[in-house]
Amino acid sequence: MATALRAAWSRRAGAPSISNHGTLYPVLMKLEQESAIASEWGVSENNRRARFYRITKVGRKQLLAEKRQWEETTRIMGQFFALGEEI
Amino acid sequence: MRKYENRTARFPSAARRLSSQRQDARLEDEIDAHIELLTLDNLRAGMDPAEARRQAALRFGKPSSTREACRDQRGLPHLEAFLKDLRHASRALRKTPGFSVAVVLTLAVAAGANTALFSLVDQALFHPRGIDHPERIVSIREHYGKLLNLSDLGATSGPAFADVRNERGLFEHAAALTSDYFTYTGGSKPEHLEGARVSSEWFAVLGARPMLGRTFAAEEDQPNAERVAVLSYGTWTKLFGRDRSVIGRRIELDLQPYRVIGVMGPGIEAIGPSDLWVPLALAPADIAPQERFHQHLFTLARLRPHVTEQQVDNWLRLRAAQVLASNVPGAKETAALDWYMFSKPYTDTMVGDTRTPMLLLLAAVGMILLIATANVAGLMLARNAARLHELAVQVALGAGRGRLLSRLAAESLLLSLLGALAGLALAAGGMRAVLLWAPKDAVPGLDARFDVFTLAFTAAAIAAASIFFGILPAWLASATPPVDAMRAGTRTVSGRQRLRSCLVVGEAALAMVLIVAAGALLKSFLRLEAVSPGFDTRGVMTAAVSFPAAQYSSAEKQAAFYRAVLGSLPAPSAFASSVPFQGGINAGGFEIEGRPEDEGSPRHTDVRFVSPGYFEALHIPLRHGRFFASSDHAGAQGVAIIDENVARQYWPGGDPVGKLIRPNGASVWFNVIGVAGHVLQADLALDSGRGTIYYDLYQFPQPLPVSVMVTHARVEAIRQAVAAANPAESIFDVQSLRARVAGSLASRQFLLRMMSFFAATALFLAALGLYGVISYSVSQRTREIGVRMALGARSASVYGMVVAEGLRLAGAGCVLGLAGAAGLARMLESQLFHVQAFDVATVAAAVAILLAVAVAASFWPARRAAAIEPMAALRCE
Repeated sequence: MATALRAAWSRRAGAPSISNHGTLYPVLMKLEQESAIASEWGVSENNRRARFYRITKVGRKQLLAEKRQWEETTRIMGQFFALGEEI
Repeated sequence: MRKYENRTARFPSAARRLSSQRQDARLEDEIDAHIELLTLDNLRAGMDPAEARRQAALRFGKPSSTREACRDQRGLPHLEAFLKDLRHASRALRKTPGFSVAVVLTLAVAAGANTALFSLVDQALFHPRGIDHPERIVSIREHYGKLLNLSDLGATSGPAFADVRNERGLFEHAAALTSDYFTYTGGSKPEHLEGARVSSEWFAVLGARPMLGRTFAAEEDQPNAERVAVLSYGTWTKLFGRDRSVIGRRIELDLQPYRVIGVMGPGIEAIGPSDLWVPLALAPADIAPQERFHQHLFTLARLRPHVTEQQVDNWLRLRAAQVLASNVPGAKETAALDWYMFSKPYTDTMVGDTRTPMLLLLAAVGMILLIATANVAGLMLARNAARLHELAVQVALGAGRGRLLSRLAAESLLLSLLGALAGLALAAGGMRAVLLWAPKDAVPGLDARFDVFTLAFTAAAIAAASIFFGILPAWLASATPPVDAMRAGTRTVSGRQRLRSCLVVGEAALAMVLIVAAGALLKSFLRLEAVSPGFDTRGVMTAAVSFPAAQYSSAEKQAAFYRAVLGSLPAPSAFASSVPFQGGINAGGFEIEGRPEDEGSPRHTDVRFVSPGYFEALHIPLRHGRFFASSDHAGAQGVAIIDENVARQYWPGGDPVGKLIRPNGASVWFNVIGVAGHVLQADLALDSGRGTIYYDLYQFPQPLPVSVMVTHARVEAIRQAVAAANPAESIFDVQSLRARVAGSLASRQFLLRMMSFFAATALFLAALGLYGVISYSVSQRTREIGVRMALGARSASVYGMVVAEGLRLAGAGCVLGLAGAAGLARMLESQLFHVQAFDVATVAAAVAILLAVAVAASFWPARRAAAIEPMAALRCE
């Protein structure tokens, strides 16, 4: 799993590196409790047993909602800072 | 697996509980796999296997924290974790039984005392038993501002009651009561009952419903109506064995037939005499204008909703003004006496003078709660500060702050719970003890009923304090890096020790306040006991006899009874209309022949009818003239004896003997034949100064309903003498005169006992706190003391050093306590007799007691300090 996650992250520029992998699990558990993600055991690219997490329909919806909210927030903040520059 | 997870989503909590262990296993698996993968990555990056594993572990962080955090995330196991904490706490507490017992005991004493006292005061002041909405009931009173000690008559006249009864706009119900004695003759021997005549709405005013049958109808409350009676629960039980068929039965009271129409439930015994009730049946003559200033009825009224006491008082004042302006007989004279009517809330009426003592005791018990809380806080602080090292190790091993706090909170909670439970038991016992100690007539009708709310409040207050002070060290411990905490060892605790010292100073201060209060009360009580009432109580027995009108139709019949009884008792024995310290006032005005009354200074005295031998039996001194003799019989010239206060007030410098006086309204004159010493009538602390005029009992033209016998004979001899004179008579209210006088001090004695108990408890708790602080400080300074001794300090100087620390704390407490005592003084003042609340000798004694206890409390730790082996101390950490 670690590699899969790392791969997904590193595909994006500027992704933060996780200093403490252990802290991920409570977050994953929370998401799973909310049925935003589902997981199952599988085999990794280098033939090791690993647990694979994937986003569910509920999760996708939630993600979209969060994304929209985030965009709204950044838009407002952007306007706010633009205002600051005008002054 | 998938199916299972769907179920998880639908029944999250149940499924989660079921799968808790499986989830744990899965997480372990996952963590292992994760570290494995990280290791693999590192290997591929070219690290050697050992380094690769080490780096992977570093990268993952503490698996224990992950486990902890995941468990927290799962939610439900909070409770599970807390239960585990509780189990852990109970183990930890069992390991330190001394500490645990000290805390639980402290909590129990505070919670128990508070619950007991608050429950009782709540009952007495706010929620009297058996009364519906007591806050809407008032008693109607009359006031004579210009007559000594009659600012609250406690009674009203018939016309005043009629006024209130007719004012339907303000009052929902109004009723009057007058007490009466009955002799029940249906059983094997005559039974004396203390009952009351009440108007028909009496029970409606109280909001009390009968348990069986009904109460009086308006048409039964009329003169010449059928005689009916309502029994109390107690009488129903005692005389009729709770026979439900008693309703409708005819019973004989004072040789008259009465029909029983109802039985009241238990609970309203509190209000006046209440063995049974019969209708008051006021005749039109009883409420006629000439009765306006004859106050003999206890009147209660229930206010309509939203009517305020202010409205009622305004109306009563207005009504009084109308009466004075009218041509009612006596209005002109009364107008000069500052007479008016007012109302008094029901609970004030019932509780009366006990309100201040009750509030004082509440203040005292509140202080006990404060001291106990401070003590527990101090103990928790010390315990957990001493465990700082242990806590630091736990933090280092990965325990999260939340878990640590939760574990310590569990300990505090467990202690509070045990304390509250023990407090409950103590409160139950304590309430019984308080009721046993309390004067019987001070607050009638109280029972050992719990106020669960109070217990919960007390327990919560203590729990909050102990949890706060319990987890404070843990909070600090988890905030400092574990390595520092471990290295610092015991040096970081000085701040907390200062906090503990402050707590102990506070405890000592509160204890000081209570000791000063108890000391002032004790001094006052001793002074009161030394007050002479003006007569000699030694060996005097008193007993009352009631005279049903049906049997004693004339004064002659009653006189014959008196002569028969007194004839078989040793002289001096006498009958009297009342005796001192019996309660009740019989006072009135009088005329002096040839001296019209000055307007504005009315003549007013207590009045008592006594048979010859009364003064001799009580050893009341004769100042001048002579006492009553057998020659002063019904047909002879009327005679009177006045006391020295009357003589001084109305014949200053002159000789009253030989002068003629008569009570207001009487037609014959009485010759003053002697002047007797003044006696106190009701209260050792308060002499109203009002004098007494004595008339000869045999010259009183009408039979008295009740009279009281004074004699030096034994109770059995009195009983035999009465039974021989009239087999249908029995004596009641049998008490030695000494007991009657002591009874007047009962409420003071109760306050003194309770206050002393609280002061002793406070002192004990403060000593415990002081001992804890000093003893802890000695253990912290073992090394320092060892060095001092190694450098030649003698054990005496070590003793001195430790004891001085105790004295310093107690001394600071004394100073603070003095300020507190000054604050309490104002409240205490009204309860004291010829003693200042801030009496210098009392304060000095309190300081001495507190300091002595401080020395004692620090003596044991001092001994331990002096016994320290310098070498061993230096070697220890």
